[in-house]
Amino acid sequence: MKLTEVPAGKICTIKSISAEDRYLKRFVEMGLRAGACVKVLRFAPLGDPIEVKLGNAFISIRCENAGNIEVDLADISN
Amino acid sequence: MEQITVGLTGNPNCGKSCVFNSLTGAKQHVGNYPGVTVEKVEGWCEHKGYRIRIVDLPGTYSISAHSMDEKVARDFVLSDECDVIVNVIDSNNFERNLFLTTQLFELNKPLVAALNMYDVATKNGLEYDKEKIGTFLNGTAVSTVGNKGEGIKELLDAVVYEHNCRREFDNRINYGSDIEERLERLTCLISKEVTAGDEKKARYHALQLLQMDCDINEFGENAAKVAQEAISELNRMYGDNPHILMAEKRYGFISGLFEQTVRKTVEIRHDASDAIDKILLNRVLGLPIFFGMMYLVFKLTFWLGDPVMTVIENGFDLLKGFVNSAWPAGAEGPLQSLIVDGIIGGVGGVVVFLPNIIFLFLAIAVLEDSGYMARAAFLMDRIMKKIGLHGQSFIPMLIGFGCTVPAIMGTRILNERRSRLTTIMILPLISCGARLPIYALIIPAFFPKHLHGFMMWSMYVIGILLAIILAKVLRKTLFKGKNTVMLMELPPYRVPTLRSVFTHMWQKSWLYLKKAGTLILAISIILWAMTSYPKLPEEQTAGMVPKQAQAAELKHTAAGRIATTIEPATKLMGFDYKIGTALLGAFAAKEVFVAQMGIVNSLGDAGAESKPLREKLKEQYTPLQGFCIMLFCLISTPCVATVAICRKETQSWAFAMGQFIGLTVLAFVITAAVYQMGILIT
Repeated sequence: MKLTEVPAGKICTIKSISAEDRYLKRFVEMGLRAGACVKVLRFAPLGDPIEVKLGNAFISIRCENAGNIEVDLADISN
Repeated sequence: MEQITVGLTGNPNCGKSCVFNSLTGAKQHVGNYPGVTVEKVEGWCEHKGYRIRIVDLPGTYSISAHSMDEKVARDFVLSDECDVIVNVIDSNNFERNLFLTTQLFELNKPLVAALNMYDVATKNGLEYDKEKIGTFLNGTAVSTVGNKGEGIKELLDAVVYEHNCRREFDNRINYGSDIEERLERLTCLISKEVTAGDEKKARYHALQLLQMDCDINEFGENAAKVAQEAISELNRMYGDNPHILMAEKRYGFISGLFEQTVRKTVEIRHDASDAIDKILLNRVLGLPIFFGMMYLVFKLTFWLGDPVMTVIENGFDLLKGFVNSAWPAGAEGPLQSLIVDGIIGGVGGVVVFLPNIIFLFLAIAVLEDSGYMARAAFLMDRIMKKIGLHGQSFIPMLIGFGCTVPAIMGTRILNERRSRLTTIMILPLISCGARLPIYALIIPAFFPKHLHGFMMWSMYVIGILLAIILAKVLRKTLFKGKNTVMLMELPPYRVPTLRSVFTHMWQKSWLYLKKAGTLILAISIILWAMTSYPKLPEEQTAGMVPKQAQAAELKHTAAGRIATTIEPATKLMGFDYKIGTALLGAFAAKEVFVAQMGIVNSLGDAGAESKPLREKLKEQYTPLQGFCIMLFCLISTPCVATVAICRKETQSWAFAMGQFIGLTVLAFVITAAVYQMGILIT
């Protein structure tokens, strides 16, 4: 499923990110890469962007970008 | 005394500026990097007989040079000027921060890692083996608490040590045989291309080529061909471009380092920040709270600023009065007028904005240091995206209702150049405080009472609509380009320290005074000359009452003559030479229009409340002409300070003049169209 489809509060693992090369770099440098574990925290009041927690950091991603991130929902959710 | 130059690097939000302030105290200096708008902050201190010069580089996640900030940071650490690299690392985000560290490590330079916010990390149950981290990085690792000044002495010790111990550098991350082979080949080719002494950097340049971090032709055709081949081969083999594969290896190195040097005793959380966000970013409350906060900033800037502005204005008036009275009788002349009206008036016009700017930067510093600014961008992003901008552009636009000058300076929080330029270009259309006296003069003169509020409101709305349209057009034409990926870190909330807030405020205010001040002053003097010269011979004003004489004199000056000459053009907008002269003078600052209208209509210096001036306007002009005056004032550049600040912030006269001319033409076309259509209808 896509990162945008993950309900707030759930944890998921990134499977793949599809984006143009120079944009992909940005993701990777921020630590968003295959295998990374992120928790979807919330959607902004107007529905876009979304806020995720990666490790110990909070990151805001626009839906148009988050839609390019394929994830697997993790079983544990807290 | 021998000098050691230190490049201070780190991710955004790693507490780098706290470390910088602790290192240098008040011994700081702000400037700009040549040719770009990136601020260059440096400071110095003395330690163990060395003068240590510290250059605070922009906070970046990598030095791959996507943005101006990254390029500046990369070029500096790569240059021979930089003796030691200090990498500030947020100890609570160790793994993520290390991505930049691995890139710095590969530069083969003396490296000191400062594990910052160490106190919080310890509280969070993290234990670091600093010695081992140092070994891994072929440098020294120390722990610091930037905002409390802890570990700063040790950091300086480490800098001196790394500078003197002359390590042998051959730092490399193993990228696996497939990549290494190709790297080797490229390194060989490049070391032949580069100038002598730079061979050591060859591997780094080879890395750049493979990662597509630089222009592929930078190191010769041969290297470009080999690199291109290597990239496509690797892509075929692994299904990903080399930079992804290499990033994977970097993360491999990082997790190896992490596992061997860090011990976690408790799972870390940012419960407090998340709890605050539950309210501040709440679906229902988030936006109202945001607008409330912005209203506060707005109020703070102008309400706290206004009394001080009055004091400054009065002070300059007193100064003028003093100079006038102290001037030797009988020697009155152009010099006195130049000093009093040109120089003192010009300097006063600059300094008078200072309270606004200081309070604005104070508010911005608090919002930024506390972590709320990033949240504001998060909340507004959706709306700003519609006009092709980023959430962060909203803040300067709001400030623009008060004054365009600090608003343009406020665009510094935007890090993407094209959206920053777009924001700067549209900001003058947000109706600023200086247009208010004009509306206050015109509206009651021409419109019935029940329409006053509506007319005022409509001027603001027209400005906003034009700004939106212009932003969309600019993003589709001049500043085209898809938005870069909008990834933004929302830092954990922190209580801002007084010291860092005041340092930020002071540095920015000083830059304004120094740079914009000189330019604005020069243009004010030119405008003063234009509205004073040439002088009308005295015999021609003989017999006139003083007010009539003043009007006749103004018509005779350069400004008056220009207005008379271009009257055929301004007539299209419904403006006669009187309005034209007033508008020319009003270029110094829009509020001057009211005073100038008073002078050209032989009423002397008139305030906005002046009833006789309104009567006079009503006699001479139609409501349509009144509306056109407001419209032209709204759309054209607010003041000379805007042009100066635009030049300073964009580092380009082309943008500053482009904005000035563009807005003037736009104002002319729209106003003329409205006037001509208005005539047809009525």
